[in-house]
Amino acid sequence: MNESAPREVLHSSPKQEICGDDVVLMKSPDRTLEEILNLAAVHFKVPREKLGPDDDFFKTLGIDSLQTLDLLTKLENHFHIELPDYELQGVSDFRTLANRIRARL
Amino acid sequence: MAVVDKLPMLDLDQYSSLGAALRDALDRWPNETCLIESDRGREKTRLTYSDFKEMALPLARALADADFHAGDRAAIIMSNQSKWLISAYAVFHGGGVVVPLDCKLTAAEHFELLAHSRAKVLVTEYHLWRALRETAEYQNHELGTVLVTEAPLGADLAGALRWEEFRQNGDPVFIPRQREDTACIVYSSGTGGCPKGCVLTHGNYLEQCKSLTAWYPFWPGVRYLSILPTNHAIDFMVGFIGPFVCGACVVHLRTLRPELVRDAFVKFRITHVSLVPLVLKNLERGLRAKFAELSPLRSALLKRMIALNKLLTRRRPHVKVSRRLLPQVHRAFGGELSTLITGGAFVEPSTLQFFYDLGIPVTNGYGLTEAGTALTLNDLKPFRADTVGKPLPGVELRILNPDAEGIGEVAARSKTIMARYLDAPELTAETIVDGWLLTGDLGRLDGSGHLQLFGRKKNMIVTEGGKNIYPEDIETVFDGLPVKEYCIFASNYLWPRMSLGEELLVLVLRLVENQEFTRALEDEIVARNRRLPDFKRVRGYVLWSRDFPRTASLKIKRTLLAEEIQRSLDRAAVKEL
Repeated sequence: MNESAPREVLHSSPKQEICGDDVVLMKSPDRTLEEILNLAAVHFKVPREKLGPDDDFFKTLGIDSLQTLDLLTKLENHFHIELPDYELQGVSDFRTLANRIRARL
Repeated sequence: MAVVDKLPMLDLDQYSSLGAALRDALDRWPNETCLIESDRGREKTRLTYSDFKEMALPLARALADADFHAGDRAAIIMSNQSKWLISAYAVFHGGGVVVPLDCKLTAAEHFELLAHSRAKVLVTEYHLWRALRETAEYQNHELGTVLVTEAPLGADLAGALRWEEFRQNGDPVFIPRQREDTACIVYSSGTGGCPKGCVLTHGNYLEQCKSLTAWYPFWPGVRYLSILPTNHAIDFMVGFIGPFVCGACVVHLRTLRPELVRDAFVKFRITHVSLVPLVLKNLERGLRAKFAELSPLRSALLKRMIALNKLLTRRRPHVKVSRRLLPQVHRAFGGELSTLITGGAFVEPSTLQFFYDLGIPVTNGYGLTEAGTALTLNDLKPFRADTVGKPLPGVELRILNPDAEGIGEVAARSKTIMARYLDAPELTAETIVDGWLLTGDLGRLDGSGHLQLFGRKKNMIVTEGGKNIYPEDIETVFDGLPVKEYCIFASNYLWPRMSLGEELLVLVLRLVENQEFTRALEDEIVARNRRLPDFKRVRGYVLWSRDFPRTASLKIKRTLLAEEIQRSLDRAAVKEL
């Protein structure tokens, strides 16, 4: 089963162009962050508008450290990168997570 | 499962050190697989005991050539992987002392513990080494020999050496150690100026291994899934020493991702595993979600099979019968899981019962780093979800100053109790009195010899991930907070309850006269709190209107303050952060 969020959901911002996986490498910081927020909203079934870039995702999503690791796999599949578990160490907000991901794009 | 045509485990009474026992183990089962390492489902490493020896001895020789002598200390900061165990054996081979540190601590905390332990050698992974070098503390510490694993080609290691290249030919000299010599210094908590380095001897570990394997033996053919960090007392014993002295195999995953952990059970046909409650609950959540998706007919059938399994396993587990009754469930765990040990923190009885009802022999126990690994364990004769089991062979338990219901502080005496806290004679004297370890935990021994736990006497929490958090260790993050004074307590210390679980840290704030608790202050507290790893964070605060009682040297009298707070406020006063 493909558990990735539908792309139309991930690219729901009106300011963004629809893009395919093949142009993922060209994402801007804002786009990376936006896609992470959308993905988290879909994966954890939380309204997107409740998630902010600097939110503590443990608190906002009400999740534990293992559940955040679940999100890592979704992010790997979406961005076509490998993210070792340690990339989440010390990270608790979406913006920092986006920076870690961009460093690997 | 029958043990056939295989050499039995080592007779640990014959050994005086971990190094000697491990050395014989490597020769006893040369062709058995001892380690499998997987990364994201891809098998990266598979070593026989003979391979392990071939990798460890040149490292031991290189350490000896680098002036590492008997009694010298080597810290290991790594995730669970083969090089952790190989490094530890090389250190023991040369008579050294292993200092296992939690790789999830911050770099600043690592430096603090490296300094406290006076480690002469550090073995770490490249990304951790990079993190250590990026801190301000890096400039102020002499680190000695640093060995870094998996560094990319051309990476600047700033004086560190590549673990993979740090080897010398020629047989290293094996340095014998005695049972009373130090094997490991393990930090049960530890930063913020009060490191508790438990000095554990070779005798402590050999006795612990002997008692654990008396109840839960390993043998060649056992495949143990190592998920808990190896620096943790449980995994060091049950995911390293125990399997090795029995010729068993350890599987490392390098990840805790739930779906990869689930896959590993199947891929490696895991027979034994130890889990902290956090992981166990995650597995439970996954299974319950699957059960909820079943059609009404299949759901009804599952319930009937579970009921039948409960009936058939009420006196003791019958794992083969359970596998036949609930094949899908057991296949999800690889079909060969025979023992699931859980510990390190409080486990909800309902979670234990859930797994046992499915026919998975789950056993919980109780221990402290100060006591080696475990003091008690459930022997499943019969299964009990409401206790932490019976004292292991060689362990004596006493309940000090029991109340009318028989509940008091648990004290333990055993050959597995640590020698002392490193460089803390007063703390040692407070903790080990006349040979009895005062655990600080409140419990009762029932009529059948099982220990039931009811809470803690000490100001600390244990997270579901098995981490001990002492308030004093995290208070420094709030240094300079614009309030008159503050202090952190475990909520269950302030307001004792007759149960474990739901353990939270609470920040007690005394504001300056006429100061308001503003949004700006709350934001600052939240921001500082977020500098801490999530499992160490304060979850709530209370406002306190009187000055804190202090000693002549201005230290907060925590016990007195806690009593005052308990008399004046209740849990409802805690506001969420």
